[in-house]
Amino acid sequence: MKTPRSEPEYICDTSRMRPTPPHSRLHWLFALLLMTAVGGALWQHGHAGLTIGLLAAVPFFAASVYLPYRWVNSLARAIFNCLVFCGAIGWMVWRTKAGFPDLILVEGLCIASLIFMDGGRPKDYFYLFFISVFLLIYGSLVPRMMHLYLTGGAIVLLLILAFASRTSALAGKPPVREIPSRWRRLWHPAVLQLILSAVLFWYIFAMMPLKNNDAPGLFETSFLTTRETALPPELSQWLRPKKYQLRNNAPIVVTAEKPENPTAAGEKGTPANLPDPVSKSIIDGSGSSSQGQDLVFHVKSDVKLYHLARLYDQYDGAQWKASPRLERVRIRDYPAKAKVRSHLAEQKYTLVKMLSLRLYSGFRMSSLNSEVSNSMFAGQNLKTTFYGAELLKSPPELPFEYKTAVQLLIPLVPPETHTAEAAAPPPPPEPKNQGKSKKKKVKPVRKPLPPDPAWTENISRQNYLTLPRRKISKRVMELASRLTAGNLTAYGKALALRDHLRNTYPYKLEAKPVPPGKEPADYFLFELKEGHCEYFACALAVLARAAGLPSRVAVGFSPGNYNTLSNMFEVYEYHAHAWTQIYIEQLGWLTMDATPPSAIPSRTLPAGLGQLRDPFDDEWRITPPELTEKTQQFLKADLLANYNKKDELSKIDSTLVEMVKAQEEITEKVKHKYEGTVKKIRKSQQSGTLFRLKQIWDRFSNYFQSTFSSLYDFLFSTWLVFLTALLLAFFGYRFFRLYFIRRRWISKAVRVKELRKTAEACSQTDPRQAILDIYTALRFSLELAGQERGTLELLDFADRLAVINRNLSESARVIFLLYYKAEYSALPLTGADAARAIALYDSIRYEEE
Amino acid sequence: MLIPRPTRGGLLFLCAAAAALGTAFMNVGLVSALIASVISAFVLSGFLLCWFTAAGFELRREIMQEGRCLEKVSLPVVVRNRTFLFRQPAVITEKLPFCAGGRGSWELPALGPHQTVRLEREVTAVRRGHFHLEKLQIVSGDPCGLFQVRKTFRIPGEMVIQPQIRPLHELPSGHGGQLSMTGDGRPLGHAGMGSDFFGVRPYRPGDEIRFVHWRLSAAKQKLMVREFEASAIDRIVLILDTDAASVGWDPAENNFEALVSLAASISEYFTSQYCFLTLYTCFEGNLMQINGDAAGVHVKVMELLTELQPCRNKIENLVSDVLEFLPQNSVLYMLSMTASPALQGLLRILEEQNIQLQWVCAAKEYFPIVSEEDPMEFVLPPEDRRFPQVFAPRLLTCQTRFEELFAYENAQV
Repeated sequence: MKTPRSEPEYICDTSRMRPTPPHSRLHWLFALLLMTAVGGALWQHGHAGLTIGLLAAVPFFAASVYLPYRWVNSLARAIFNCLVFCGAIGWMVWRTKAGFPDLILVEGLCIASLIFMDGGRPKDYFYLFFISVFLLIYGSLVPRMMHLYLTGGAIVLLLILAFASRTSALAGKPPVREIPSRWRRLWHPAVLQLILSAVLFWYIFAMMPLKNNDAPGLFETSFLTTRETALPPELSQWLRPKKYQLRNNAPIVVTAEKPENPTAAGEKGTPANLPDPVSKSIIDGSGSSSQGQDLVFHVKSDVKLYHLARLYDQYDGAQWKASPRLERVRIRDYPAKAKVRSHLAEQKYTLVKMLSLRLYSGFRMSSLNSEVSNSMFAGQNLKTTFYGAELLKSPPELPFEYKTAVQLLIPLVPPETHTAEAAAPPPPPEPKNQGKSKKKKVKPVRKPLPPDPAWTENISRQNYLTLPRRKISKRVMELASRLTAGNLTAYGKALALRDHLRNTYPYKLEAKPVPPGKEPADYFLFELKEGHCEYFACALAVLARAAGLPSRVAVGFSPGNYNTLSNMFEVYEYHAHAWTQIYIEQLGWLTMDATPPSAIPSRTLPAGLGQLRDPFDDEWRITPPELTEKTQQFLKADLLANYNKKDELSKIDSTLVEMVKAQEEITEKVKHKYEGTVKKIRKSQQSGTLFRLKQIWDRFSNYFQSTFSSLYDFLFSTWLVFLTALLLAFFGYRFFRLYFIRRRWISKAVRVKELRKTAEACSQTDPRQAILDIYTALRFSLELAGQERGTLELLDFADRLAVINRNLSESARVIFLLYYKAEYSALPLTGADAARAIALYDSIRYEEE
Repeated sequence: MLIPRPTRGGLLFLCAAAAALGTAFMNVGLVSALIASVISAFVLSGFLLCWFTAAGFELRREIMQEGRCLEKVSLPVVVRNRTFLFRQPAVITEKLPFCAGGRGSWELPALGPHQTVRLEREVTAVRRGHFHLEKLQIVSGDPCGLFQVRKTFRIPGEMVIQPQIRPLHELPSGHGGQLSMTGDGRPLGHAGMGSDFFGVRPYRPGDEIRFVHWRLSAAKQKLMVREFEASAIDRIVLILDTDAASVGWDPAENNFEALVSLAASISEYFTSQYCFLTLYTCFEGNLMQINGDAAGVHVKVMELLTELQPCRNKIENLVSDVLEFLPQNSVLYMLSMTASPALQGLLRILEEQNIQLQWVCAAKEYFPIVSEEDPMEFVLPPEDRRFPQVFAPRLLTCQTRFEELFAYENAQV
């Protein structure tokens, strides 16, 4: 006898449980994608600790999907996910005092995305995919190098995931079991799509507006959508902890270090190199370019210029100083007969670190627009000169923004280095007295400089030609004279002097200082023979003045690194520099940098991609930046645009006509001069098989280009029409086909009814015809239902109908047999046969209904 | 019309392309332009490449066998590539009401030019019934899976999913082995007891005179009697509870389905036992009765069980309705989902009619929801001592194997 159970028995059946949560075979790729997206969104933008913590946490969360249920059951997982979600909410609440609601939301989203990492369900992977794409698009709003590098990897991962989960995506719900793809047979569709995508990418990217603009972002949130203010912090700064405090309901950053203070030259331990104008001047030999790595300012500018801080016009044989006269210079407008046109180029500076109270700008600053200059007390806070501005009082909060407008010239006559008749150089100054002479000293008579309509300063050019005659050595003067001998124009002379210094003297940062009693230019040119930028600037200025070219020394920063992601120049402390400005008739003051170009750091960021996107190239290292083709093209285009806006067509017409005339004259001169030489060269080349082959090839490629370029142009301009016509043709064809199919279907259905009626009507009088009609009606009905007989025998066809319905198959078989009897048999048919056929047909139709 | 539609991933890419383009056009920047261009390029290329990917297929449904619930069912189709091109893998999808999720999808492997492939589509059936199948779809798209094109084939078909039948070794049939068997398994008759002529045999004391075969007796010079089919044939009565209120929570594997499967298994078992089977149950509120030779009615029983669904009729009402029709000396298999005292009382009445009771109770508490993530937990209560042992039901749980259900009884026999 079976013993009754006296105690309750607890049953726990785990046989139907999965050992671990389900997960895709691409699980780790999803984890990698999430890490990439989080890094792209938050690196150098979000909270540093959170970003690094999230990147470290993703692999752990991804691995949790392999934990078996007997260790961590589903309830525990759900509780843990709730805790993570609450943690995300808590983090967002804590970060509200930092401001930037968009950043806070994104950080919360990144934390919450970890929940989907350990779910393992198909919809979890979909959410991960969605979040990753969203984070990548968000990260593109803040241009950072790290994001650019991660974007490439993220796109590759997205494509791999898309290709690998193709059939699951097509199946929808429920997901089909993936069969491992056989790439041997599947690679060509993927390659085809990649090629097509590459072509479309090229086409779409060409349409993207990459020109700088100040448009606000698409979404009016707090994130800084103008790129000027969206510059990411340096990595070292981003990793420093920041504490936020609320003051007056506004968050402020409180760091452990002292707030940014302007550093002046001469203070111990400061990286600044800009000398205090009162106490120190340059080229006493102690100054050299600073190697500090901090960002000083960034500039948004359409032209690549040096950033001027200060000018020095007075040389006493030991130092360069800014004379009081220079401070009082005023600028007047260019007269009409001057063969120049000037135009303003706008620049926007954002000071990040104050090294001095100067406000930098390209030469020559024409106007300044900042909160300081626009305030009521601008005069008390700001001191302006004809070329720049300087703050007088305590520095403003950083970052400090201001806009400048720089006046640049558009020469109507391109500068030439040689001329048929060289202007006679001014006589060299008298050499230093070698010994006592009883002869009376006679002052050399200086010829007055010819008037230059392009000179707009209200002081004489002579001011920039003065040299301390007793201090400048004879060999310096002779060197200047020798270098500028020949039929050189003023521009040519300036270039000759500059190139001599560049090509002859190497750059050395830690050069020896000038010994006391020595003249710096002479010491550098003939004894030291190497030096830093101040030596080069001083030497060129002295040589230029000795050659009769007005010159002065400028101090500031070289153009800096160009960031193609943010389209801004980034100027660091190591860009501090000194150069020379030389005045050329009809061209104005030009930047002449005698420092070897290789010693001037100027990178285009990011590495690799930057070189492809650099809009300025390296012409500025050879040609003065004011005269480079990029600068001139921008000025002309901007001039045209502005004039079109103002409808002042007459001015631009005359200007352009003058420019074109001048260019034509030059072209004719060159053509006339070198015509003979060109003929000789052509004659020597027009022989031989190679030349003939080259001719054939040139003809073919010209024909190919002309034919297909016109075809391409035609298609490019009419692609939309073609695409529309194609789509219309396709849909029209489908529509009409469907219409005709439907029409045929309706006519067939009507015919079936007619046959049924006819069969019933003649079932007794003409049973054979009735059976034939019924057979035809059945065949039509089956065709309408999509059952084509094809090449099957009738009875085989009836057997195949058993797949659909047994009754249908049996009824059809009987009807077909009756048909055979009616069609081929000699035996008479009766009304009963016809009635039976009709009844069977009706039973089929009744079942269908 | 084969118009491409975006998949979920494609919809996501579309939205991302729109967002990226909007971002790039308003926030001018190299990176945003790159991302927008890449995403837009892939979306556009996917849209262009997905056209006509589902064209050129020929699909034919093969004959399908009947299936059993909770077992794999094969739905073979033959697919042919009518073009001269290599085809990417596609997906064949079909609405299948009898499988989990209501829809089945299978990957169609890559086909070469004019290649034909037979696809054995296997799916686990989780619902019983007759199902009409209408449309098959081939879904294909671009290599990235961003857009899909569906081509529908109207190929009707029928599928029958019968209840699951599990093997049963020995079931009580009433006579406890009192029947004798011939060499071919037919039960030996008791003369004069049945109606179907079975054969002749020598007279044994006790046989009735009216069954003497006089002509054969004269020929053999000894008394011979006619023998008939064993009228002491086992009578098996099956009462199946269909009370909807007692049905468990899992839609596919609940107590009701287990009882249906048990009823089908019992019917299958008795097809080889030459007994008389009667099934009583409620179908759509009406009392249903099937009776006849077990082998002969098995098909009808299976058809009924295939379509049977819970309804609002308590087991007590069912039993009280059929009480008077239950034959004496029969074996009653009571398959219920409750063990209420009212039912106990009715069963006591049956005992007086010399009916051998085999009571199986499958309460819904013993069939928790089947989950891949959580174990199935339940508590078997102590056996109720209020009722005599003979009226204590055998508990059918989600863990019970049918062959163990009557094992004690068989051992006792």
